[in-house]
Amino acid sequence: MALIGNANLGKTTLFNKLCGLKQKTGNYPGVTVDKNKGFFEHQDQKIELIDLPGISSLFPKSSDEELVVQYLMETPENEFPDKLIVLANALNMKRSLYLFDQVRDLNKPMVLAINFSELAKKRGIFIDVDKLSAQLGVPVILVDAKHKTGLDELKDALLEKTDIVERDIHFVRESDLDTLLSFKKITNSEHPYTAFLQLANGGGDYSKFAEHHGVNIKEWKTNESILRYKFLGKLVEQSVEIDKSKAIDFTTQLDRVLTHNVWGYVIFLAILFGIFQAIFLLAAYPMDWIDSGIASLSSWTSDTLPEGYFSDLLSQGLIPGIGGVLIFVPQIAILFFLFALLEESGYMQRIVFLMDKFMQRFGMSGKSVVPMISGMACAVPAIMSARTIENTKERMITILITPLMTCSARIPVYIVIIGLIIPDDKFVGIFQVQGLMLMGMYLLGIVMSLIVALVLKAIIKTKFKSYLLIDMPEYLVPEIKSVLISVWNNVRSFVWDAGRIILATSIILFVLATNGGEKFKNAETVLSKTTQQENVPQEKIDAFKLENSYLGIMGRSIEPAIEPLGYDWKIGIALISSLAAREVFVSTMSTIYSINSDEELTIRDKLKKERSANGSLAFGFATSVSLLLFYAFALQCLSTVAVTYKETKSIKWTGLQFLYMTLLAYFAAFIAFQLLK
Amino acid sequence: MKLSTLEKYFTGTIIEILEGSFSAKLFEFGILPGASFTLIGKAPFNGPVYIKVDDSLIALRKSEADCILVK
Repeated sequence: MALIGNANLGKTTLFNKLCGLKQKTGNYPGVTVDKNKGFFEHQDQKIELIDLPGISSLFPKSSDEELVVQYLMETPENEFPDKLIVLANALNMKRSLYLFDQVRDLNKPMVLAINFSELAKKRGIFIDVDKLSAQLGVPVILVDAKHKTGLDELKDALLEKTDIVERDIHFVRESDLDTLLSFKKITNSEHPYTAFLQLANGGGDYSKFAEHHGVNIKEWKTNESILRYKFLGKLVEQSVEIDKSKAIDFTTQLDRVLTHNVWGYVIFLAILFGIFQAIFLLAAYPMDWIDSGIASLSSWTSDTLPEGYFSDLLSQGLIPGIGGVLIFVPQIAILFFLFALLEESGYMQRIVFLMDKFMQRFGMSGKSVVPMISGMACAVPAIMSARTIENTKERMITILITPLMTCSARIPVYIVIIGLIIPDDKFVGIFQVQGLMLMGMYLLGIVMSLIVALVLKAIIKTKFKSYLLIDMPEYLVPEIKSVLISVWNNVRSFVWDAGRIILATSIILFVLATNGGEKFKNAETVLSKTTQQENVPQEKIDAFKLENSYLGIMGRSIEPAIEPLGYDWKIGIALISSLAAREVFVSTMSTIYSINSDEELTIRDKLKKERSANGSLAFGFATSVSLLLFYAFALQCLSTVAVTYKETKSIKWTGLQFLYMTLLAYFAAFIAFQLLK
Repeated sequence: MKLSTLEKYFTGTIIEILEGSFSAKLFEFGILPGASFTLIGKAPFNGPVYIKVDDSLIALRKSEADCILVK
């Protein structure tokens, strides 16, 4: 079965309520059609439900709408959902039935679910379900996903057999009817409306037909809208009663402030600022627990297990590696939680409204703000969410710059490095300086993305005029359980996807660091020869071993290239290993430095103590700033590269994104280090 | 009058949608001749216009609002 509806109608909430935690989010890279699949059981039957992206009509303007229409039109009969659930909005029947009315003419088995029924009751809206059902020829169920009303009735209706009968055609003018029917005969379409959609959406031979018969597609579409709204207007008048005395216009009242020319922006900035402080302050505690927990687990393992290669692999390779992933979880969870609140409450669309003009200066649309903000959690879903942008140029620019936003994978890297140069207890007023510095890094990402956008705006050419036409959903109190399910899904897929890469990298690193060539194997003899000492201290042997391990050799081979940035070969190793995923940096650092020390310290303490060959601090101010800049701009994320390729279907744009970000990172780090050293 | 030239909180009726590349989309959103509307907000610096048409809340760019004639 599949769930269809306009965006912002509580579709996700309904989906979460029906399926709970039994969901599979399409694994980002490599999936052809991204759809959330969920499962639930009813009357001993296992039901699979697909959550299709929100669309406003069957005439797609953006690529996610295209996906849905393609899915509805081209899925072969045997794979087509047994039933469609079309979602409408009890608070705005006429408008939300528009999509239903179109889908209805596809004559597939379907159920109309009308959401927000409880809220509608409170507002004095009464819907005559039987009348609607009789007029539309499909089962109609009132639901309120948030209050869990009507869910069982909906499930019952899904399992019942429904016969769909073709309705009288009311989407073309009578004078155009014969032309449509003769077109239907030519294309052998199933139903008149399928023929209509082919004529309107398809090119090639179809446009020849249109030309030959003097069909003005645009006029047909316009007529369709007028005729359908006329039909729906009458229908709603007959079956929906509105007690005007109970009507409250909460949303427009609130919007007087939230979209105000001054206050709107003040509130928006305050919300952003609040998010950053929340990430830092709230997440700090669980992160500390995880960090020290991992450190003690690590020392416990090495103390309890019999000494040997396996014990070392666990305590110095695997455990610090896993710790490097787990330490993100609090921040990612908080970020996804807050974003889900913004999205579900309806505020996200206000941001689009407020920011559109500003974004247009940078060649983007107000809709680009959504990917940019979600890019602060993770660039992968963010780049996918750019699909809602209709204009190709605006969409391309958005996709290209989104990875510059500070994603959650950068946070641990930033936290570790910022912690090295600014003490924990430094405050300016009530604000922790570390928190302000992190905010500075977020700002840097935003500013740089806008600069790059300006450049791209000048480069990319387009022949299509862009437009913006969006629904402003009613403000709703988000449903916490549904929000938590989204957070859980995101965190789970993040830990799983990133975790696998990090785990594999940790093991490979450990093996590379503990094996080497001749010099490595005979470290003791080589050292005693060169230093002409009988008993070389163990510390020196370990250091020499690491330097001559396969990992050390790799690190040293790129040292000439990274020396101008202020990095030694150990950081070089971390750079190499974090090419695929930047968060690996922290776990690599902790793996590399555990190999050399017996003490179990937290990552940050280890790095603070680290000295380079000449005795100066390995992570001095200049090197730390240079590293911060490198990680701010470099595209060290295989998943982002994969998703950009998938979304743009172009090697050129994917390559450009990787190239410009790498160059930007290298030169920014270079300049910073040379100026500060 | 063009919708784009109105002041906040103006209430009126749409009379005509001028032909444009997105006019079909406006129709789909229920912005039709004869529909009544209220102008709820205007973003600064000629930013988008925020209207209520029937029961729908819709935001659109000023350039699109230019194509909507109202009274």
